[in-house]
Amino acid sequence: MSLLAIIAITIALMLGFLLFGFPIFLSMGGAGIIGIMMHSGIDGLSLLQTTVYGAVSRFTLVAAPLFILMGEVIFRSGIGADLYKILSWLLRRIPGGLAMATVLACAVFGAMCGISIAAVATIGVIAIPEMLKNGYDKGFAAGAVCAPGALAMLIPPSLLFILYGEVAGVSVGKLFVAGILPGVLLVVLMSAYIILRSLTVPGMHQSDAATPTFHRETVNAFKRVWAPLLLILAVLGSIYFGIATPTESAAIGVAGAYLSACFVYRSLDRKRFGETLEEAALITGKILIVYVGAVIFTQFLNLSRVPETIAGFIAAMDTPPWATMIIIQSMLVLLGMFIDGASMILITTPILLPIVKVMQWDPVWFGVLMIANIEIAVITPPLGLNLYTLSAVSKEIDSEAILLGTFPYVAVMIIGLILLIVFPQISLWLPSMM
Amino acid sequence: MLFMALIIFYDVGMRYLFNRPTFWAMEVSEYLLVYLAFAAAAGIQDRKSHIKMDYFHNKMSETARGYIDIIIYLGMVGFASAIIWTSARMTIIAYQYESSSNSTLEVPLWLPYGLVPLCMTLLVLQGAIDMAKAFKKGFFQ
Amino acid sequence: ECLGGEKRIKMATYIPVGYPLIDEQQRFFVNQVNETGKGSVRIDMYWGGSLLKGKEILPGLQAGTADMVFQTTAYLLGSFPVIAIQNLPIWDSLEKAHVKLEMDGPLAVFQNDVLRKRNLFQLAVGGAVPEFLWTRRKRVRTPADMRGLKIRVAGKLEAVAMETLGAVPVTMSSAELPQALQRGVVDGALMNPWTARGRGVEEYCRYMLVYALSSQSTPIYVMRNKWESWPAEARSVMKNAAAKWEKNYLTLITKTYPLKETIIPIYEKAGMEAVYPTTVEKAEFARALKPLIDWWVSQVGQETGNRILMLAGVK
Ligand code: NA
Ligand code: NA
Repeated sequence: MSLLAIIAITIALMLGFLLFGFPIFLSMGGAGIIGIMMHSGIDGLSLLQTTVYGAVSRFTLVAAPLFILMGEVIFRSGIGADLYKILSWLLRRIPGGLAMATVLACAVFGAMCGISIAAVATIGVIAIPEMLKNGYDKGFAAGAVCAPGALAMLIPPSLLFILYGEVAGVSVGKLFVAGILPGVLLVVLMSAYIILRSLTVPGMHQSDAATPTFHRETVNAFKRVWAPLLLILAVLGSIYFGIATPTESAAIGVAGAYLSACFVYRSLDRKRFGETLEEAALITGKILIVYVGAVIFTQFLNLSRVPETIAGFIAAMDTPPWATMIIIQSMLVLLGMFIDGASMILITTPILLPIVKVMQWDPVWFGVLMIANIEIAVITPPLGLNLYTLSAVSKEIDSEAILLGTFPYVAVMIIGLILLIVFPQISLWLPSMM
Repeated sequence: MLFMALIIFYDVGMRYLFNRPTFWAMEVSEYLLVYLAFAAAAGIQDRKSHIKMDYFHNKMSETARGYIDIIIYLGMVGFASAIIWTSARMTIIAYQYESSSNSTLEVPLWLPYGLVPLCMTLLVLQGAIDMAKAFKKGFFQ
Repeated sequence: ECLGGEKRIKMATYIPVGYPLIDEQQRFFVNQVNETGKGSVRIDMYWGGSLLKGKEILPGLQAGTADMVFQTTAYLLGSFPVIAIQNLPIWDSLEKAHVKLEMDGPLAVFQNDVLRKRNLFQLAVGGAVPEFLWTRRKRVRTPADMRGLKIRVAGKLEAVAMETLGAVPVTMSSAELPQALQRGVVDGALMNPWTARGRGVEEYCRYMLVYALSSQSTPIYVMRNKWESWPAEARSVMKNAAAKWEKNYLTLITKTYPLKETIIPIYEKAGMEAVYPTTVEKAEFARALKPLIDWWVSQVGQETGNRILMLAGVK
């Protein structure tokens, strides 16, 4: 069998499994295993052992369950609801105010951690029930969490920037600073989409009108708000004042969330305490096993040298810079449908970097484009970790609604990506001030 | 998970306040992560709440869905068995060659490696139970 | 595996493509084998962790996922403490490390005798490059300056070295290191100046102590029984390529990228200060690090340890 046939069959198998309702981890992992066997026989399976274990035994991943646990505590103790109440009260006169509050909450959370799935898990648990309660369309509510959740990767701190910086030999500090304005740009674009959608689709924002009355609850929320603000400060502060690394700051966040839940909110009894742990463990398990499946599938692609071939193909083409850029970015969007962000950076950066040098593009700018591209990758099927994370944490919304509701944001983000390509200054102005 | 948060928190505290970091916090949390990733799989399967795209699945007739479910359980048993087979081999090799981690903790690596086949065995059992249930349902209908 | 008599070998490395020095060196070996071995042996190379990542390399080699690997010794010391001779702070010159660690030299042969017990074969080492201490704010000249400093280390040997010198070893993932240095989570790190280039660390560190507190090497490994089962012609092609590879390494680190003339100025341009200890201060470090060497000898056994030190020209 030719290599091309093997690749085609494996991808078709994976898509087929997905459509027939196989669990995601099984669709990707199973297709990956079959692909590996077609490629190098039964002996090829020895690759599985290191892949499966290596996929999850990574310290950089430890932040994920910790931020999920923090999110659970914030959710079950009512802290998140409070914060969200205040944000939505502040935005009450704007059409789609709740959705916009969600986008902002995701951005703020993104400034606390660098993992998009953690942002989706935390904000999703809090914001989805609120939006549904206020009569939002399920898909619309899901989209408002899924897509902005990806901002965590662009707004510093960001683990993907760390990875890119390490592979590309670019200063991580510069990358972090470069990510700020593009992050803000995407927040603005997403908010614009929400306003437009709320104004054009009738009945979308009327329900918001029910929220604005200044309840006694809102007053209480304002009174207690110092605790969660302190929590954000503790997480951010521990990173910025050199007490902890981003991963470790997640542990501080967990401790802080439990403390405020116990002493400020007095809402954590033994039963709730157990619930936070059990629920967080289940969510983590659901996400990590999908990650394992994704890594097995990615490993099959690596074995058949798919990413290398695609990148080599781009490098071999003799086209003007703008066309090359369009081809690269489109290829990355396509590739991003199938492999996870971290693998995408690790595999393609080294191969694309020579092109970046030849074209005399700024590697910092290219890094921002790459991460912006991965923000699209995490919300596109079949492998979109944000989509799956949301479906893991939210029982109210089925995956179909998540998919449909998130889809418009792919267009929004592509517009953002185009703006970033056309105006490199958005990415490079802040770092140039350093 | 709480344990993971606690040891990392403890590590930060010891390092920042007393300049005495623990050398094992990072390593132990990596092992805990492996455990978290694989141990929950069977329980999640029992609750039938693994993440999936169930759009078409929900639209099928009950009989068709029954058949597909059996294929899914079969696939799950196959998948988990393949992982057990290879990761058990890795565990045995690590035991034979006395591999251990390059840290002051010197953990014999067959211990964390062994978590994978152990947890995946549970998934095989769960898959088999689900399959048996599906067949039973089929016969009595 | 064999196509028309040509032996196909799956080789893996985790070093990212374009990584300074090591990537260039690894490509040299693969090209050398594939050019001179036409018809008898061919390396199917998987670069940049595309087959196996850092910690997966050894188990992947043992299981047969890869037939041959390049691997940084720091990852192997837990299972094979004997090769730590390449990492101990005993190599005061690049040339000396190159000569003593040479393929088929007495030290290499003896290491392989020990590795044979666990079926590992070290084809060639290439040499060892020093790891210097990089610090954020503190100018370190003597062991006394290091007391209480939090230093990021990559493994057990480095951790013991830092403790021996009175510093506090900290473990963290390399991805988090630049930010940890920027924010002061740690005060410094041990790094090899050739490969530290452009990782952003130079922006957060002010000083580099030009003294080998430990060393780093990235040899070629094969499982012993597999190596012995390969056709003699294929093995001889690889041995010849490895011999050229060793020489090429010395050329790279002494001529193409010489430390004082090329590498250190890169960091000085970025605003760092290279601190050169005096002969007296160097002796102080050597004396302070003596317990580390004793500790290592106790780990591998008195007889083996002393024999290796003697072959390395230390005793
Ligand atoms: Na972030
Ligand atoms: Na995707």
